[in-house]
Amino acid sequence: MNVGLPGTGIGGLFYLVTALCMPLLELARTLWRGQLDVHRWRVAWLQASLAGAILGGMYATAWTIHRLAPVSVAKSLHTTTQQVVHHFGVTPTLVTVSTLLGLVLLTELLRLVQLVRRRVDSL
Amino acid sequence: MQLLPVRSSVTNRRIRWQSLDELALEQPHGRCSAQASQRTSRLTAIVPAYNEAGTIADTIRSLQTQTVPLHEIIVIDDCSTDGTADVARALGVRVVRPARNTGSKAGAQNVALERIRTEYTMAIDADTVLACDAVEQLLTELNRPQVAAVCGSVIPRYVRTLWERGRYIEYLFAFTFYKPIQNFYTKPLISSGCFSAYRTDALRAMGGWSTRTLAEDMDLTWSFYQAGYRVRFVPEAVCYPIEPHSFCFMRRQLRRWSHGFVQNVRLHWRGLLSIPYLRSVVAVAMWDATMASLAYFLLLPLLAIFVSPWFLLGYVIDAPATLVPILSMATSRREVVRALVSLPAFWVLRIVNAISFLEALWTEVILRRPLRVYEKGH
Repeated sequence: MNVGLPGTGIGGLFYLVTALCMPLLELARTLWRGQLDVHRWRVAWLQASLAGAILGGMYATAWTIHRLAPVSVAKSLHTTTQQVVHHFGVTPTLVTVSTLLGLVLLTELLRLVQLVRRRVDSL
Repeated sequence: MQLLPVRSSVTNRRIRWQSLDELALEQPHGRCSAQASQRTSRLTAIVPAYNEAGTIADTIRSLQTQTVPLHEIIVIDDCSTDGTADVARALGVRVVRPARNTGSKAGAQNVALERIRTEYTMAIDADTVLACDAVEQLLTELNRPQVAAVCGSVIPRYVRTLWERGRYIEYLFAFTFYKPIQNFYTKPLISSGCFSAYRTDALRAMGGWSTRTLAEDMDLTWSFYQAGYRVRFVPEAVCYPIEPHSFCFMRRQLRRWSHGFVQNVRLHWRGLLSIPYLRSVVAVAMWDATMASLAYFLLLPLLAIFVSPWFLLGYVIDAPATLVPILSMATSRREVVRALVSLPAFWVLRIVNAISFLEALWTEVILRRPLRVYEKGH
């Protein structure tokens, strides 16, 4: 969700992943350059901590729904609580993760196609 | 109570929040001006204005009381009919009035760009006030090599109506979580048009602010990246614009933003492919906005009707996760109650965001009828 634009889980997930990668990238940068950038480390840890807390919030939401929803929903749908948990929890998560992965891969593929075309044109 | 950030110097990154009332009492002779450097910066501020007589005085005063004095303040009075130019002149700034209305903010800013003689140029909306050290903060980053543009944090000046509250939550979330991440990866998505500073020669090299899209700030930011320049975000530099207070004004602004985003994606997508991270950010934003709009208006209602009403939870299911960065920022601003009270407005606003985005997508991509008329958002 960017300001003025609607958003669902895919954008949020993208930023969660990139935030969690920040300390790792900063570690690699520190080792590569041999010097510590305190300000960058502070930002990396802060954003990764926020991402961790957001994941905690998501877990709490999933736990609450798992506790509250399945029985009543299962009754109304004439199905088992296990299937309801699957429909509400596992399926949306899998769809979101695979969509994000597909989208990022597609973007990289387009970049590759663009590079190849440029090489071919320059020959 | 509205709070503004105050710091003793740019080396101290801790922010103490101060009320607008306190700040008004202190300026121009208080804490901010007492710290003001005697040297004049190499920066000219330009303020495009069309019928802003009611707000422009606050903007000019906040520019005049910066900790780093500006070289010059130029107000472009885009043929206002409410005496905007008189208000500006009374405060001792230079006023330029084009022969006829330029039709857009970009057009007005370009009129001023011809007159800039300093190394740096800053653009600020005529309804926006700055924290007293905002310019000083921006200059620390703008002085770095290859940096062409810098932007700061944005917080609504007034948080009273439903729409202002929704925007307040959006800003708290974006400037606490998304923007610092984008900045860490050296690719802020946009250097906001309401308050940004630029290297003047880089700005001129881009041809100034283009009028080919309705989001000239996004267009300029993405053009900078493609030309090999850097754009930075400085969270400590804070500005306070007046956000749309009614549905009518909010709808106009969102219409412009949504059309501007779609127009920029269409215009720049090939060039963006060669920019790591930004290409993913834009692709994800485009996909997310499209899918979210369809989910709000199609998927969730259908699932709620035909499968289970529990699917209506989908509209607010991200609330606990969203609250984390919002409460983090709200706590540091001592505005937790305000943030919690404003949260429902955010859910309303994102439905309106979705309507605006779908309309923009339909008109720009399917009907191929690009929106060209610039409508003021407030």
